[in-house]
Amino acid sequence: MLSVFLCEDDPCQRSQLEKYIKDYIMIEELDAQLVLSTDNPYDILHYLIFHTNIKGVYFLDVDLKSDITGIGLASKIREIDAMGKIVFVTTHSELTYLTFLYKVEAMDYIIKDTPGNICQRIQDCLHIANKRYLNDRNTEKKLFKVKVGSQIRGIEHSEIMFFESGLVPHKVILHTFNSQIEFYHTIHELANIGQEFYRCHKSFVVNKTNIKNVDKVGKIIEMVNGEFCLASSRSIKGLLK
Amino acid sequence: MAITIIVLLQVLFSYLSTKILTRNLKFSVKELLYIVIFGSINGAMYQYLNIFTNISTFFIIITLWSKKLNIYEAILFSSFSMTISILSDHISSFLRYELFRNDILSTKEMLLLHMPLCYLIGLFLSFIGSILLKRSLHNLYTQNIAPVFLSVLSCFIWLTCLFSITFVRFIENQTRLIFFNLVFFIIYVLLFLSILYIYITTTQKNYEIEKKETVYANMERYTQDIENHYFELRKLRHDYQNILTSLENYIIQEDIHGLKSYFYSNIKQHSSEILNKEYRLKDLSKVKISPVKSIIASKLIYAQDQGLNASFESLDTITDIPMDAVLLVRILGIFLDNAIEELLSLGQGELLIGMIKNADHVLIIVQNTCREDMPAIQTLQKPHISTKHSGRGLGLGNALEIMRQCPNVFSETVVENCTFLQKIMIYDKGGE
Repeated sequence: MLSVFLCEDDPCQRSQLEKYIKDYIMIEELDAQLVLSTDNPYDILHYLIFHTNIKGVYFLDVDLKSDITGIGLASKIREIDAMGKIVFVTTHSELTYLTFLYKVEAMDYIIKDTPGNICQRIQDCLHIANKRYLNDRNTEKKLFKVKVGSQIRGIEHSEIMFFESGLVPHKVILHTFNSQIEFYHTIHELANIGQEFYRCHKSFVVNKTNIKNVDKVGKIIEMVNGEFCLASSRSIKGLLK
Repeated sequence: MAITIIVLLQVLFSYLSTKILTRNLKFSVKELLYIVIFGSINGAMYQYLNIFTNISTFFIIITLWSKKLNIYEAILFSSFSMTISILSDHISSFLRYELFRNDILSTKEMLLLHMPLCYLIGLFLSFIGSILLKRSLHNLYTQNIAPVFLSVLSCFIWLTCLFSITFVRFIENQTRLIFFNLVFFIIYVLLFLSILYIYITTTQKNYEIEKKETVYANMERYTQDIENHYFELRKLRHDYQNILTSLENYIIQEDIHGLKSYFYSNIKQHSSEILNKEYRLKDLSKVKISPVKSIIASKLIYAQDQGLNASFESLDTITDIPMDAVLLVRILGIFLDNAIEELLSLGQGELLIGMIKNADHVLIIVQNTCREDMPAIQTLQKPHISTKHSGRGLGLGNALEIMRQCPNVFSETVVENCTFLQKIMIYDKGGE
C-alpha cells in the first residue's frame, strides 16, 4: 500500500492539499492512504524510523519555517526510503529544478503560485506514483546495480549495450541506448553478471542481445543504438555461435 | 702631437659611429665643437692615461648623448661604438698583417693605411649594428628589465673587448693571461645563466597575466550584468514608492471602487512583469571559485543576450572543487558552447546549469534542450560535421576525454526526450 505524506506549514494550504489528496485516493480507489499530514518535518522522519517497509509518496513544501528545509528533509527521507516518490510544493521563485531532480531525485514539483492548477497537479502526481508503485512490485527484471554519484541505480540488463574500460585504471563506461555512465569497476568481472554478457575485447564487454551487426573483417560490433565496440579476433568466433 | 691627432680622430670616429647606430645623422656645430675640444684634451692626456684613453673617450661620448637619450640608451650605444672601434682597429691590424706582412707602423703608414682601413671597417660595422639594434630593441622595450640589462650587457662586452684584446698586449705573463681569460669566461657563463633565468621568469609571468586577463574579461560581463540589475532595482524602488502612495490615497479617501480598479488594472499587471523577470544568475554568487564563476557568467550572459532561456542554480555554496581549474573551465566551456549552439539552431528551449554539493563530491549539471533525432553519443564525440566555425572546434569527445582521464572525476551523459544532460561528479581526492 502506498503511504502518502504531506508536510506544509501554512494551515490553510495544508488542509486544502489534504482534501485534494484524500479525494483523489477515494475517487480512484487507489491502494493508498494519507498517513501523515503535518507542519513539522521531524514528524515524518520519526514515522519513517518507527515503521518499516514504507512505500512512500511525499508532498513537501520547500519553505518549511523550520531549521530544516524541504530539500534537507527530502535528503533525509531518501536515506531511509530510497524508492520513495518525492514531490515538492514550491513557489515559482523558489523553484530549483536541477537540485530537486538530482540532489534528491524528486519525481516532480508543484507550483503553488497558480492556485487553479494545484488540484490537477496533485492528481497527476498521485497517478504517476501509483503507476510506478505497481510497476516496481511486478518487475522481476534483472538489474545491474551501479553507483553513480550519491545514488545506487538499477539498470535493466536489456538496456545495456556494452561496457568499455576507461582511460584510467578501474574506470568503466557503461553504454546504454542513449547514455554513457562512468563508474568504478573492473572490466573482467562484468562479463559474469549475466549470460548475455561476453568479453569480446580487452576493453569491452558486450551484451549479445543488443548486437545489430558484426563486422568480421573490421572486427567491429555495431549495436542497436548506432554505437560501435571493438572485438578481438578470438572473440569473433565466440560471438558467431 | 701626432698622438693627439690620432686620439682625436678616434674620438671623432666613435662619435660618428654612435650617430650611425642611433640613425640620427644630423650634425650640429655645437656637438662637433664639443668633440673636438674634449677629444684634443683626451689626446693631450694620452701620455698619462695611456690605454685608459679608451675609457675616457667612452665618457666623453656618453655625456654628449645623455642629453638626447635616456641614460640606458646612451650607455648602450656608446659601448657599442667603443666595441666597434676596438674591433675594427684589430681587424684592420689583422688584415694589414695578412695582406702586407706589416707589423710595425711608422706614423705615416699609420695615418695613410691603418686609420682609413680601420675607419672603413668601423663604419661598415656601425651600419650593420644600427640595423641589428633597430630590429631587436623594437621588441625588447616592452619589458622593464631590458634597458638596464642591455646597457649593462653592452658595457660589459665593450670592457671585455678592451681588456682581452687590448690589454693582452701588455700582459707578458702567460698565467696571468690565462687567469684573466678564465675570469671573463666565468663571468660570461654567469651572465648567460642570468639571461636564461630572466627569460624563463618573464615567460612565466606573461602566461599568468594572460590567464588572469581572461578571467577579468569574463568577470567584466558579470559585473556589467549586476550593475544593470542595480539600476533596475532603483527603478523598482521608485515605482514601489509611487504605488504605495497611490494606494494610501485611495484608502484615506475610502474609495474602495477606485482602489479595486487601480489594483486590477495597474498593479496586478505590473507585478507579473516584475515577478517573472528574475535574475536567473543570482545563485552564481554562491560559486566561490573565480575562473569557474567567470566562465559560467560569461557564457550564460551571452546566451541571455541572444534571447536564450539560460539560468544557473545552486543552493549550496561551492568553495572548492577538487579538480584543476583550467581543465574544468575548458570542459565547461565546451559543454556551454555546444548547448548554446544547439539552442540557437533550434530557436527554442532552455539551458540549465546547476551545482550541488554532496557529502563526498560536487555534482555539476549542464542540461539543454536538443533536437529530436540526435545521433548516438559515440558519434557526437567524433570531430563533428556541424555548423561550428573552426578555431575552437573542440567537441564533446575532448571534454569526455579530459574527464575520463581524471581519476576522481566521473561523467554521465544522457540524451533523452529532446534533452541533452551532462553530469560531472568530482570526488574529493584521496577518497575513491
